[in-house]
Amino acid sequence: MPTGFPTRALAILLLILLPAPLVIVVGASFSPRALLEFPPPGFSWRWYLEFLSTPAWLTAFGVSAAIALASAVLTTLAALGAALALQDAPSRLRAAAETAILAPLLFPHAALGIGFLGWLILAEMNGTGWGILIAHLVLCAPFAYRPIAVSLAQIDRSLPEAATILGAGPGQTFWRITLPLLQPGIAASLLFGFIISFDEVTVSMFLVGPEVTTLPVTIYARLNDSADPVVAAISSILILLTAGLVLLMDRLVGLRIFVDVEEEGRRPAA
Amino acid sequence: MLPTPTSGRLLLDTVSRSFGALKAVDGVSLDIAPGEFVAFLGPSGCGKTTLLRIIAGFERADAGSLILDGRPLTGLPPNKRDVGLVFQNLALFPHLTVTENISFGLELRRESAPEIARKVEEAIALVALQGLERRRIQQLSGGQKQRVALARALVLHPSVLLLDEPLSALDLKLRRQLQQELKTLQRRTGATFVFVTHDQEEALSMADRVAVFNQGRLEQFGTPQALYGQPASRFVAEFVGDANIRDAAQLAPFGITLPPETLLVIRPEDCAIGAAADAAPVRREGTVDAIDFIGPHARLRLILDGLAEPWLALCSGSAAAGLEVGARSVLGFDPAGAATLKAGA
Repeated sequence: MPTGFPTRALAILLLILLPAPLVIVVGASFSPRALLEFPPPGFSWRWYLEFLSTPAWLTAFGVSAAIALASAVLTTLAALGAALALQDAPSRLRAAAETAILAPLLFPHAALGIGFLGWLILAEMNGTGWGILIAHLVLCAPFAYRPIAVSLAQIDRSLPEAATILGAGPGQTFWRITLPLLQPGIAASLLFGFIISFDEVTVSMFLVGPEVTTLPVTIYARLNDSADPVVAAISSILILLTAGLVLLMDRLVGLRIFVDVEEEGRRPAA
Repeated sequence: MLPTPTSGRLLLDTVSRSFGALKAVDGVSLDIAPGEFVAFLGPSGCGKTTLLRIIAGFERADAGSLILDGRPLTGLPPNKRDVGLVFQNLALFPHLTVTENISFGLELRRESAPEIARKVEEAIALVALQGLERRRIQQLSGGQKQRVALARALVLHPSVLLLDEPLSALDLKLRRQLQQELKTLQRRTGATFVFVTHDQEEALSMADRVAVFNQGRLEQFGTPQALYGQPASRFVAEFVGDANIRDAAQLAPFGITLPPETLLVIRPEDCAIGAAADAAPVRREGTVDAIDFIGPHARLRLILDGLAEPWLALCSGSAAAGLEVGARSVLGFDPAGAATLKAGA
């Protein structure tokens, strides 16, 4: 990669542009007035208190968090099973299955939303949390499968054999060797799954109902009729939450795993 | 006091394994004695690693039987065979420390904690890794990793320890040192060692007996001296050391008559050059075609008058002094001291 002037200029520009929206959002959230403006004309916690004292907001937050948590855990378990099963599968079967798992990346979310809505109406699950969860499981699948499959491919095939010759049965080999070595992939899968589900708007918009709605959909609906800074306050809380999650991951498994997983993925198979 | 080996007798009876049309292991029979150090030697693709994996239980044999200390191994999974294996890439567990790697097998056997601690300590002392117990695998040098792999396998006291080219990744000096250590370890533990290598020097210097493989078949199983002195086939004669292999027609100009279908194996070091050749029963003049000085020795290639095949000779540096490419010299040898082969073997 050449590091001449154009490259550096581009990098600096990106470093400025990346956090720029965050500055506006966080800044505007502290405005004392009922208008989304930057720079804020003063400082107040008004909109944070508004969020915390409005049951509808809190409910939407709770629904989103519950669906995101369930999505992350369930897709990670499914991706783990898929990766293990496909590891030794014939290459054609493996390629077909991987295409299916990664397919949600290829379709526009609006199209997926309509499709899910159709199926969920048939199953009489539209407008329910379960319906949204099912859609999110599909949307999160590619992001769960890839890091786990890459982690699995990185495990030297002689390691399970070594465990076996030392006396381990298949279960012991899995729990004591394979699973601990998959930890980076599993952590990445959980984090991606949670964030993707928690942030999802387009597909969810088709699936929410009067009973159940998610936080991003509520934010979007609110922005349509008014531009008060409660949205900015909620967004700031979400930024804090995401940053907290990422820091927690860094503490637990190290952030380098994301870089490593990606780099390994690009290397040609040996 | 060295332990007297009582277990570790490994019998292979016409073991075969094919991959499609390729016969990777072709009717191999071997009788390995308790406490013996055996090397499986051969070029890559000769089936030695496949055979090792069959003994370990990671590959099945299509035909034939394996018996360890009277117990048939057929159908037993690798974890029930009482066989240890040191992998070519060592296969140390990267998420565990040195101690955890070594205690892995003991923990699976549900031995008591003090017992595990005692055995691990013993194994660490055996391979001289004291002080590195809590290190992670990535923090070790190549030679240290090697020792962890050995300790991890030996701590379970397997009757047979299989080693799959474990030294191939190391530099020459460390390799020589570890060859010595392995040899010592084998004597101290009394376990049967089966060592796979493609390095004939390594096989000859370490093993009690060497099994030479070619294209899945066992060419010869014998002591290093027997392999070198009485090779059973042309392949063994050429693979184990250098050799001038000549048939009756090629030896007629020397005045030697050979029975038909017989080959003579004349080792380069049995060929005398120059004045030293005067005492040899047969000799012939020729021209030096190439000369390499290797330490105290010189390796020569000569084109002898009227003979197409070049001859290899190994002599002392002083005997070769003054010789250069194109120089005239004499090569002599004693056909009585040379091994014979059946042509086609």
